[in-house]
Amino acid sequence: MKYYAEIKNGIVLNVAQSEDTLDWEGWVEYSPTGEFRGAPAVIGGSYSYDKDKFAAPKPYPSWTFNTEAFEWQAPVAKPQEIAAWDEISQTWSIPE
Amino acid sequence: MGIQSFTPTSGGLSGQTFIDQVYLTYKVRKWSRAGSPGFYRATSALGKDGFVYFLQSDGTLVQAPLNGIANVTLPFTEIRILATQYDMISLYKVSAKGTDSLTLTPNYTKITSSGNYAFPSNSVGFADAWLIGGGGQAVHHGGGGGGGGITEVTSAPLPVGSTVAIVIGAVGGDTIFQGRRASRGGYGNDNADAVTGYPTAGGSGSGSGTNNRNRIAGDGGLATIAVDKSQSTYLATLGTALTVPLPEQDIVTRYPTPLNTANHTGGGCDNSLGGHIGGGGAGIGGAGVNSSNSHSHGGPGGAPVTGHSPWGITSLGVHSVGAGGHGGRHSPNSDSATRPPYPTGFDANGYGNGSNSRHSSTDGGSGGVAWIRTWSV
Repeated sequence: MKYYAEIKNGIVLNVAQSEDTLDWEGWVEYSPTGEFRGAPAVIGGSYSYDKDKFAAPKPYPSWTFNTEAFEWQAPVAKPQEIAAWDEISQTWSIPE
Repeated sequence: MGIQSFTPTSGGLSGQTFIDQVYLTYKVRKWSRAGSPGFYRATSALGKDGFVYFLQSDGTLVQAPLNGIANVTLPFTEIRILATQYDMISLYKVSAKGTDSLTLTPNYTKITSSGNYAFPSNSVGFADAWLIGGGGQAVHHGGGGGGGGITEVTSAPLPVGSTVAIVIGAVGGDTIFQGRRASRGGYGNDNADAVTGYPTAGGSGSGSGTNNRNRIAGDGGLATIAVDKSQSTYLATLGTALTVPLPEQDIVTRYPTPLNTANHTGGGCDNSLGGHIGGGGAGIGGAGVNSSNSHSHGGPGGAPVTGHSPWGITSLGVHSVGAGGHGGRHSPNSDSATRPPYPTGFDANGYGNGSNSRHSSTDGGSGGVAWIRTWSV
């Protein structure tokens, strides 16, 4: 199965699945696991034709968008471990 | 050469036989004229309006406007006329060819892949559709499960022999057929989003239905927090019921079915202090379950709706649609939910099921589907 996102003005309007290659105008293939073209496409997210990458909607108010990397970044660098962002304390929470 | 008199042997129109004519010295006239059953037309020489009434042998009257056709099913003995004075009324018997009944054969097609589909040229220009939106997308590390997709039953014009683009929503996407849209299930909330300012709260399951349209199912799933955070009791709010009538609803009422949608709320996070445990997403058949510290997993997702197609065709099998995804668990570092058994058909015939939240990923969930019913002649 292949996955496609409908793009208008750089915004993802819908996501669809197809067993075949879709050649519909304005639709771009994405990876639901993020293996190519950046983040998985979600409705309300964005897509850059220049970067050929998807980005998720803004996850937290404090995060900023890195236009070069075309992704949202936390004010504090993410640790290597799996961690959850705490918006109030502005820290990463690492599971016990 | 004098003026010749013509007595027509048939009417001026094909398929009509001239019977007789009468001159109206009065606006209302009783004409003693008998005849056998059949189709009759009484015409006005002046091109005026009026009515004729055929008195049948059982005493009943068959009415027709002047120049219209009367279907007289019994022998008649008299014709009553209401028309314009000094008009000339002509009576014709109209022959009609018999017709055979036309049988329309329903054809069902299940479409799970987006694309351009050519519809048969022997179909009538109308199709019914049962659409299921994609299941809701969960997030990882202990978020709430995605909500179940929305089901819509609709009908649409279909130009004969046309090629139609059909969009089958992936997980988190809408299914669209001829401009009719079945919404995706709602997204599961991240584990830090369930309650603003309380980072250890688990994510809550998102309701079936999407926030931007509020279509049919509730939004559901946003948790609330006790004033004393140490109590950390999180409850899911009620889903938002549909408030805007949609044309599709009329169609739904025309096809009563066990697959109708309902309002349900996603699960919240009950006493999940420090647990990062997500609630279950709402299904279209039931609410998502709250997470709990007594669980070793997040809250199970809400139930799907299982049944036959909206058209009651048992040969199409039993379908399970719109289950809520299961909440995940982030801390302690266990890998998500211990899931209850999947509902019947979740894998084989399941559509629009919300995805599950896991510790480091998501899984499960299913895209939408479009069942199309066409009618061949």
